[in-house]
Amino acid sequence: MWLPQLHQQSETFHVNNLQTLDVKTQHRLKDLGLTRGKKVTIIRRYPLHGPVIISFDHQKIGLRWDLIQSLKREQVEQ
Amino acid sequence: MTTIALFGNPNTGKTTLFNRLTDSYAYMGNWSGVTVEKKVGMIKNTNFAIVDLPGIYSLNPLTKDEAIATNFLLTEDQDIIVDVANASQLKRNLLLSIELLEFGKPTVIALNMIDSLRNMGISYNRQVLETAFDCKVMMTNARGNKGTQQLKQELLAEDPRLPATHFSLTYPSSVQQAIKQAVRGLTQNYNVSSQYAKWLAIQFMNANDAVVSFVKQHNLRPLLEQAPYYQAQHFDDKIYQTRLNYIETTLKEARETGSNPHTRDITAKIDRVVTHPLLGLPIFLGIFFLMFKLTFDWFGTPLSDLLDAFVSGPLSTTVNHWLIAAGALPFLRSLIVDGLITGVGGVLVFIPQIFTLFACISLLEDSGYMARAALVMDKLMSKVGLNGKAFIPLIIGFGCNVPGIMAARTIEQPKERLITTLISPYMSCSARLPIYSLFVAAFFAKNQALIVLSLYVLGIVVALVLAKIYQKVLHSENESVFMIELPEYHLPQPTIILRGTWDKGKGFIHKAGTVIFAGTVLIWLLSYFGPSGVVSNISNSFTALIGHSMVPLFAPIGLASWQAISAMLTGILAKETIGATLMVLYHTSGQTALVASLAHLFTPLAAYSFLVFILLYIPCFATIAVIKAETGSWKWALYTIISSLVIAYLVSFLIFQGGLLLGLH
Amino acid sequence: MSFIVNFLISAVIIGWAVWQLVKVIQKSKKGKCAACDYKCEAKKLAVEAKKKAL
Repeated sequence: MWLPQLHQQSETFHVNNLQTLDVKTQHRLKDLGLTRGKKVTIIRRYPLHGPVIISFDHQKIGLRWDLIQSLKREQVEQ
Repeated sequence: MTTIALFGNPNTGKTTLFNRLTDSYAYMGNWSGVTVEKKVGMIKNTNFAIVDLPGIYSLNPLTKDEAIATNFLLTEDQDIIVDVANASQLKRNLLLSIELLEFGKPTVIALNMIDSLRNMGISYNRQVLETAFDCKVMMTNARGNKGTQQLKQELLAEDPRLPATHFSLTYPSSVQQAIKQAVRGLTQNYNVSSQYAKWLAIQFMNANDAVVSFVKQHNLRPLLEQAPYYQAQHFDDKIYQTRLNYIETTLKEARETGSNPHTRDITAKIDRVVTHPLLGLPIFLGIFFLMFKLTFDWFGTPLSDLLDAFVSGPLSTTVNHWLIAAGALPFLRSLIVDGLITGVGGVLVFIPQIFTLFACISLLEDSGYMARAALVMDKLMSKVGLNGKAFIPLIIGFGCNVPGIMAARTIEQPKERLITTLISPYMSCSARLPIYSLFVAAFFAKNQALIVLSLYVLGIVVALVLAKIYQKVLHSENESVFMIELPEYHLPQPTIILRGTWDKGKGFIHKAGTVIFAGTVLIWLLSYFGPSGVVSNISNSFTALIGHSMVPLFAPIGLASWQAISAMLTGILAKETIGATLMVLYHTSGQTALVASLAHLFTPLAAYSFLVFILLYIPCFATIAVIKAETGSWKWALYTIISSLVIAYLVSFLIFQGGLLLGLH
Repeated sequence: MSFIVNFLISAVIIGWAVWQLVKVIQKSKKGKCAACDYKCEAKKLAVEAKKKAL
């Protein structure tokens, strides 16, 4: 019974904000092709704010929950 | 000689292609960061050398292994660059291609894994790509060995005058203007070729750390003076955007409707189970339990027993007879029969078990599961200040600690890399397996796989606890970034699994002829002689003397046998020698006899305590050496020796004394 | 089998073992920086630049 319930709905969002991240993280995200405005689908979340699997451009990447949160956040204009 | 360098994003199949082109075998796997060193091979019957390099996303490296690839481009001569790109992720792969093309060397782009692109129902027009990037473009499927021979022919035929590429991307006018200005300044005042000056300028604007520090060091003022301007104008973003736009337009133009997509998305189906939020961790443990079941119960041990019966029975007796017939003196006879056959032979009979374990690890590596394991473990690893990626070196360490420590190069943060290096030796490597096998057969016959699994888990637990302590001491908090690519699963290919197993296992056989041989002879000599010369009773020998003197030291952890203590001393040479030493010292004719005599010398609790000590104490010489090499200092190597000894003693003490208190024996 | 043959075979076995022991210990003493830091490679970059300038 509980297994199908855990099968999560996928969720889509656009990458909003890269500025708040540290340089290294920005660098690596850029390497992977994750730039501002990129449409990203979340295909799996782990409980207790564990890692999240996202997919874009025919590839799947595992990231941490807090990173996803900051990607979703609205960009603050200077 | 012509040098061909293989560049490309991580996990695009560079090493597979390298193996195909050179008809050789180098370590392959299905995750990002398998190759952490450069490897050189020759194309058969030619003077073409091929260099396989760690994968990079861009020429601006973040990790140690990426730096190796970038350094190769900058400091060593290559005549041809082969850029290996993952055809189904071209958008991001071509970003690196542009950087390589701007460098100006003759370049061939190999669109690898072309089969998965076709499965997606997409194909690209080669001519369009070749014109757009001003270089040769080849379609390959290195895993299926398709297109690789054409690529080889192309490389061989085009030499020696494969045209240098004149690829030049038009950046926005402000950038273009700045490049022109910088190139003028550099060529006039600093005597640099205009091609190199242009590349240097673009990389500088793009904030490539290495180039920036190079420019500072050489005080290249045309660039330095403009740096604030470049920054204010966000030149790096502009360059990135221009490249991306160019790639997107080109791909749109080159795209052709291919055959119908027939992705039976197996990867998604498998992932639904193995990366399941709740089942992921139990599945991970289950996979390892299955590995030990195969190794100790179903497959490895029965074969080992057969081999042991042969070595300790017919082989040993026959050789003994021959030696007597040939008139060998007792000294030589004992050296060969009691020393070499018992010791070296006694370790070699574990080949089936060790190879089974290696086959399982190779299977995991080839399938693509490793990246998933890293993901599933990330939450746990983050609690000790590491990230899931650090788990891959640890799993590799189950085979051998040395490549495990090398694999830590892929970790971005220096402190996390150091911590991973320091905890790696606690991973139970395959060399410790013979001794486990002997003891579980003697004391825990019914739960062999479970007891061994408990040792492996104990190793992981100790490693994680230490990581937590190091995190506090080194203040590595909040540094951690975790990003991992989850590659498509591969259907395991028997040839690749076999090659991988052999490649790992041959080291074991090699060690049998070298370091285990040496350790066995050493211990045999020390037990054949005593202070009074040749001894008839082994308890008067040097080994017994040394062992006896340390018995009081080890009594608190349940060790009363001087033989076991001497065995641990030789174990520092290589862990396999522990088993060999015990065989020699107990003068038994083989595994079965040793297992029987062990039962009288240890209680089960003392035996487990001994195994725990073996698991955790001083790593072998090879591991100490690689720790020194990777951390660059003797300090850490020495620290590892001392700390592991203390920890091993502490943990086995707790287990033995705790067990006694609980009424175990 | 004569004493000399006995002696020779034993010597070969023990000699090989000693040689291997020495090798193991020496190998662990060496171990130089296998993957140098990126910054220190910048020095090599300088050499390259000079080469190009010529």
